[in-house]
Amino acid sequence: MFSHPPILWLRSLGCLLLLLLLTHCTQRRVDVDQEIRDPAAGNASLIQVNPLVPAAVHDLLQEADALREAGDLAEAILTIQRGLSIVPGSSLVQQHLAEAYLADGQYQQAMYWSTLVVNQGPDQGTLCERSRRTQALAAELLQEVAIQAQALESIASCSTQRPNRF
Amino acid sequence: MNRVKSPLPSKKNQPKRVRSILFKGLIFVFGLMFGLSVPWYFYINYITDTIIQDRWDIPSVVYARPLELYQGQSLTAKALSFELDLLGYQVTAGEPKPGQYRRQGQQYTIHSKGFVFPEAATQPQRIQLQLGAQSIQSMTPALARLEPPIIGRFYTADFENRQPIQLPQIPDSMIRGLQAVEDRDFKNHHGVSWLGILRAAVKNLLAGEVVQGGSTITQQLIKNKLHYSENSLLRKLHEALAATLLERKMSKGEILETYFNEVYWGQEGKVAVHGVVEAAQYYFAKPVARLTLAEQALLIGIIKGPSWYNPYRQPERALQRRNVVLQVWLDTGVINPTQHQQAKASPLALSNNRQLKTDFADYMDVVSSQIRKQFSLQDLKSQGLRVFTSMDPYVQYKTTQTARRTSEWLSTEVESVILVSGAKNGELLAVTGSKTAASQYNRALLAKRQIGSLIKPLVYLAALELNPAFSLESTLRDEPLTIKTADQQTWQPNNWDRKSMGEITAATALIQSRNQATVDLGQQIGLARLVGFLQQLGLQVQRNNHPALFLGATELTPFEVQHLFGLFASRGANQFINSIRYVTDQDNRILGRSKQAMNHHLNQDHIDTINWALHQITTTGTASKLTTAFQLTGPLFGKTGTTNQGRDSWFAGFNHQYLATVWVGRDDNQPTPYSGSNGALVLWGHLFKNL
Repeated sequence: MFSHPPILWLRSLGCLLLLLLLTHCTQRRVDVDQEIRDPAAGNASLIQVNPLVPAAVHDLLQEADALREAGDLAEAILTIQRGLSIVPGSSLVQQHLAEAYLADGQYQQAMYWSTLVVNQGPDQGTLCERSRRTQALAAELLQEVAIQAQALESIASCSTQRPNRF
Repeated sequence: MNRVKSPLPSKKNQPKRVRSILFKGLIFVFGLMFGLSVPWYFYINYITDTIIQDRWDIPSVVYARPLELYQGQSLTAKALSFELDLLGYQVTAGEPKPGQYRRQGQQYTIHSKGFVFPEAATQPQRIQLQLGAQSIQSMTPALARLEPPIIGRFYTADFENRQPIQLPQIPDSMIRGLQAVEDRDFKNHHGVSWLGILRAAVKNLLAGEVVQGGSTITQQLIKNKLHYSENSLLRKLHEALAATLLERKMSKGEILETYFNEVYWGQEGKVAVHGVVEAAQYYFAKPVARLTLAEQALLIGIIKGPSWYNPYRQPERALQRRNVVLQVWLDTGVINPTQHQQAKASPLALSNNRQLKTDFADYMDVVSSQIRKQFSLQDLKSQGLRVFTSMDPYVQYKTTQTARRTSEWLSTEVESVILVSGAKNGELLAVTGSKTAASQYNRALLAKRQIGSLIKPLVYLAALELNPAFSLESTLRDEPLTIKTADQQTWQPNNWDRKSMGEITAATALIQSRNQATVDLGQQIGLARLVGFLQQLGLQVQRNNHPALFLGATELTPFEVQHLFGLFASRGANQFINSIRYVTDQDNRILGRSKQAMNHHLNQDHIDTINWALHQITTTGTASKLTTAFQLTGPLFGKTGTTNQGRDSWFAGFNHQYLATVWVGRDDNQPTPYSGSNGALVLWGHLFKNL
């Protein structure tokens, strides 16, 4: 039984690694700021699209961000949904909702809302990039490799650079 | 001579026999009493246990959406006043207190009541806003929301209407006032007041009939629970034993609390109003804590005979009864002479809120059917859930009013259905399943009708999705054609004008709703592929081998049609119309919320292409009346539908805000003079004119 201890040890290690990997997949907490907003904030597109929403909705989004940062994700989602009930078609609010769902581990919902922003939201600027990054991350966590690849590829299309002057 | 034995016992044996018979009789009577009284005792014991247990049996409450207030929000003075009245707010000339508002021209000062939402509790606050013609011009604070109105409840099996309240939350005057009127010896007796029974018996004897009951509050509680209708001696015995047992199991305070939560206070349609919370809401649209002395006295007075003293039907009688109660309260020291004078001078001040409740019944049917998919009915009945829906009470009111005028705008012979949802988010805002409140048949959910040309946008969408070479610029033949069906019959579709336009573009065919051209396209797609495509969209189309399916020979309910057009209104985002936003338990924990899903892989460009055609229909096509006769502004989109001889008249359409489906027809499926354009479209136009 103990005639091949190195093999047994290797098998055990393999199982442990697999377990850790699976645990990582199921329990991964997404840091929205680090993985989506900060990279997208560097978007230097010449054209930036900032959807207009009522000032009251801006306040709600700020409130939701604070709740999300404090870890109160259920409350954050409800607060954003309140904003969405005021402006149902707003890509900005939809993107916030996608990010909150992502942080909460509800990847299907994150995918739904980010896809909505990708399809119907701005195709230039920071918000454009945020939606594609969210979609890519949600797709990765749902193991939708094709969608993830497509979303990552499309990030580049969110930037229009100033043409060279001659 | 032989002596004949006498059959009679000798005198000597008689006492022995009598004793034996008496003894057996006694045993029999004792056995009978034991046999009856033991089960009776256990039954009474069970009843009293049930009363204690039922204290926690709470119905689930269903709310409409809360009204959000912020600068720039689209809101008219009429709509705001409607919402405030629905919530039971009272107009005041002075500084508004919670539950009151002041209006000076277009300026409103509202003191909200506060509400515990799942994400945060909203405290009562003063809201000041200035209305423009169609929207809020300025507001302090920047954002506020009113409490969501209650639109219904899921009841216990016998449709009782209850909401629990604790004794300390009930005004002291009402607690003492109840005892003063119903049971002055309540604090001292053990469930039965023998003095009270004696007094009642004397009065009844003198009157020659039952004019007064000697029931204590505890007995009344038992009576209320057991739903007795007769006034027999056995019932009194039953009550007395149960009341005595109950007094041993519950404290006086618990009995009073249960009484206030249990007692019958009136009838609202098929729903009985039980409990002081419901009664306060039903009669005055306010919480118990804010009832005035006059209102408290009216409620206490009504207990004696909720039907006889119904203040809506018998205001004079109810007023007299209230004043009698106030006099008793004065005599027993519950109130002082000043309070008595003030209360007596008050009008009944009943709420009109209750009259709107029937408007919500059809919507509640949708909530009921959708919530059953997520929760067990038992949980809904007993766990006191809070169901937050997307219903917009003002849109519901306007929708109902539009349906009510079907007979005026169309004909007395036809029925109508109207559904309204948010164009972009698929949230159900309003449902009216009939043109009158009297009809209990919710056609919106139950009436399966042929949809006619409403299917055409889907046929053209299927062509865009399945035939890569097809576009709305493709040519179709709008010509007479004969098709051999699967059962070897011939079928010759006609156009609504009995004419043929020859070769036309697909766009013209869709905009002008040409049948022959659509069948031409349908044949290019193939019947089986079309059915498969529709099923992928979640449409319950049965396998149909007849090409008439290309022209809408399939039956759907108006609600199913609303789902279909939700796909176009949301540009592919929403396939399902949801009525429930989320559900919480009593402690505000979220048990479930509606989730969106995109179960299709439609190309959004294709949906936009069809939407372009739907817009053309409202400007130059079969629904152009909307922009010409009704002069509706803003981009409109929609499709008319008519079935043979006007049996069904449809219009499903949307603008940037609302999606509405209207059906008009007869329940007996007989012909009507209406097409989609001159039937359903008329109601749709009026509705959107008024929203």
